Amino acid sequence: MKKSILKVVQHDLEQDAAPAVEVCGFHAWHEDAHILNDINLAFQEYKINCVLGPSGGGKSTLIRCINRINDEIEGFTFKGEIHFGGRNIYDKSVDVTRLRTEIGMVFQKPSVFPKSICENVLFGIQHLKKLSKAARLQMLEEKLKAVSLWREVSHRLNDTASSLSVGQQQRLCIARTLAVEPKVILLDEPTSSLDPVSARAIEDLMLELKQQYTIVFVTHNIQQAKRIADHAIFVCGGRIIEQGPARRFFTHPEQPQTKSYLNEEFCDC
Amino acid sequence: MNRELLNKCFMLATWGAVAISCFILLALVSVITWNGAAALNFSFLFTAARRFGMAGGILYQIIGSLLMIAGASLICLPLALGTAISKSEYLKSRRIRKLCTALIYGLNGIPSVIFGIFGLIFFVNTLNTGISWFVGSIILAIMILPTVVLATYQSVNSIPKIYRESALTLGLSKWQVIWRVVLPQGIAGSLTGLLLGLARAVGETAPIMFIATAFSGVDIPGTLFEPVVTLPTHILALAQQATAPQALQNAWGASLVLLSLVTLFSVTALFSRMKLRTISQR
Amino acid sequence: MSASYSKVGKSYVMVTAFISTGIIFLIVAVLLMNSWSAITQVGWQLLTLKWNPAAGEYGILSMLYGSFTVTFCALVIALPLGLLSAIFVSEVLPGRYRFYVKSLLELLAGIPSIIYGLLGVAFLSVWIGHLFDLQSGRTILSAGILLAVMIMPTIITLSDDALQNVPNKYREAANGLGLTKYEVLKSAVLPIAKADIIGACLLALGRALGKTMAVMLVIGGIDRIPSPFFNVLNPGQTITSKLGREISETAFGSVHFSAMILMGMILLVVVLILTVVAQHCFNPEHRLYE
Repeated sequence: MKKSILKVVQHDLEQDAAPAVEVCGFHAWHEDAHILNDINLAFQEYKINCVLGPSGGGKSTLIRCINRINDEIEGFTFKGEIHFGGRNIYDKSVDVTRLRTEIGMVFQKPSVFPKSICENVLFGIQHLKKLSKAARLQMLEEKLKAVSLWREVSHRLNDTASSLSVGQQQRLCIARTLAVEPKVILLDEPTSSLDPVSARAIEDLMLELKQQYTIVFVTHNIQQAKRIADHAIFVCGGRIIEQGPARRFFTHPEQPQTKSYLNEEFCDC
Repeated sequence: MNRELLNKCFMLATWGAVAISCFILLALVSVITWNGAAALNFSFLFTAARRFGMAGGILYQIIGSLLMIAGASLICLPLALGTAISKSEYLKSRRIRKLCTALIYGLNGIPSVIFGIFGLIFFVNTLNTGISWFVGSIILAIMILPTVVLATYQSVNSIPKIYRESALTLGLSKWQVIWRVVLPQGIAGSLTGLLLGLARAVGETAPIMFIATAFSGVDIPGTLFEPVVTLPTHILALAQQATAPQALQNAWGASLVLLSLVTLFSVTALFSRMKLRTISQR
Repeated sequence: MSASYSKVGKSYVMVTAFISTGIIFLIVAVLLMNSWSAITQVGWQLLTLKWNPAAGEYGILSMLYGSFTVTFCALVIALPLGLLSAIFVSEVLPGRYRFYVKSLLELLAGIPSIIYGLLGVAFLSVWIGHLFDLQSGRTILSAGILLAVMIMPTIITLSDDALQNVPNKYREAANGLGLTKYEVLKSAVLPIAKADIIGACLLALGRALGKTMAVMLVIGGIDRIPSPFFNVLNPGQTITSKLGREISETAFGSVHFSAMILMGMILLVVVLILTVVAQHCFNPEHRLYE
């Protein structure tokens, strides 16, 4: 009896965690295609929020709306609001470039610039503030340690970044994002182009980073989501089918589509 | 704050540059059209020039230009087709192909006046052909050769290997494969390239003004080795007498006709290229 | 039967290829042979400023200087305008207009040189003459401005191609880090497009050097370096304008003729070098990314 009360209390506590980002009544179109349909969700602060679902379901579009990088796409229109830091990020008064320093993004394919490793890490931050040589070194060490690359590259910081393996390149991209010191990190299927060992390394990294950052992690790999998610959101056909704390989501899904997706990886949305 | 300002200044600069560029280029075309239209009428297009171009029309100039580029097409096409096919079908060594490409690109960069003096020395003097419209055609053909070769090569190269291999497995010889599979596609590409090349060739003055054209007293040539009058050289002569208003007006008229020819070739080439692209995408 | 067809076919193809690639050697050889007598008979005297065939003086430096100055003026005007316009077309202009803009630029690049010459004679040189209160508007500056307008479409279209070749993922990554559009261009896009843009500029430079008709009509045809040397409001003479004006009246085979061919030879060599270097810039093997 006591155990079940404890479980209920824990459940309530999980649900009351502060939302870092809230999406309210959000729709998105590309040309005439209705990609996102009435999205309502909250990403929990200092947790790993996993966005799950089949390919083409709108997961990428959703998170790309959160740092407004879809603004650059022609033919993109939307309706609704996304709240971050007490404001609607699509408000006219919001400075998009500042928003993107607070909500960082890591893409599916590692996009290291054709520059050296240290230039890559410092690429974003050096436009924001002038760093002394000492501060730069400190930043490099701190962020590269945070992504467990420091030991591997500390002796060759001036080598070109493309000499790293794909897995290392992706970690470098994460370090580059961390250097800007965002509050939220969006990751769009970051391990899709990586081998299983590198993918695991990234997953372990996420478990460490969530102590300081809010993580939004898009994946179509259910096992991966089971391993790392604190909060799960199932997106299919442009709609939120189900969302909730991970433990309950994976063990007792409520919606039939969720059940069939988790069991057979099939969803007929 | 400083970053915002820098960004805004830069964007303003690009808008400004585009505005200036657009203005200049639009002004150009309007001026030519406006002045040219004033000079154009039926008799202008279809009568011969008189009094060194101060009066009369440009009939023989038009004929002369068209004649020369017809000759250039006839010479250039077979050369270009053969070259492109050799590059894609026969030359297997990568280094030789690169050398070939480099030499042809080099030919493309040569200034037109150099072609002119080459023609003057080699044909008019050394081979003693005299001032001849046919020599002009040859020089123009050489000038547009790289363009046509490149266009032909691109269309021939885009034929998927599978077609060639299927034909070969059916027992066709290499040349039969070329004749039936490669050449038809290649001809389409070469025609597109030819149109592009002709758009350039019809407007060129420097290559032909020493070797193929006279200024007046010429109508339709009887043999291959006589001079002609052409539109660009006519405009040149009139421009050198720019103080006489009638000469100037006739110059504008001839310019408009020339520009129309160039545009006609360019636009046709554009459509042809688009059509080719949709065919190869099927 | 088909074997003999194959043989005929193959020899046709090889012969045409040989001709096409050999022509450039023929041209260089012909020019070299005909400039030989100038080199041997006049020698170092060629590198002087006085051009007076009647007195046996064949100094070609004034023409070389003229070509250099006119091209320099043209590039100073056309490069900034052209590059900024290319950045606009590639990065700011919405995608649906690109086709029309590119086609328009191609048509503009095709306007014959002689028509620009006519425009220069009828308008530009008159304006420059009035603006700077000169005796004649036929100056180095007029030629430079005309040349700038002629090469701008080429610069715009080639630079735009260079920018479009930069994969979008770099723009996205830089955008995602919160950089302004200017910073994205400066730090992420332009460094990658740099090689192609330099190639484009070199090609434009080569074309500018070789333009004859427009320059010939507005430069004034005076075989002298302006005084002072940077005064672009004086008339001058370039290699191309000299050749265009006088070659047909020069006695074939004379030293006079040979000296002029030598100038043409120098022009040819410079343009060929520029073309080769530009092609090297465009070489995809030099792309360091991906």
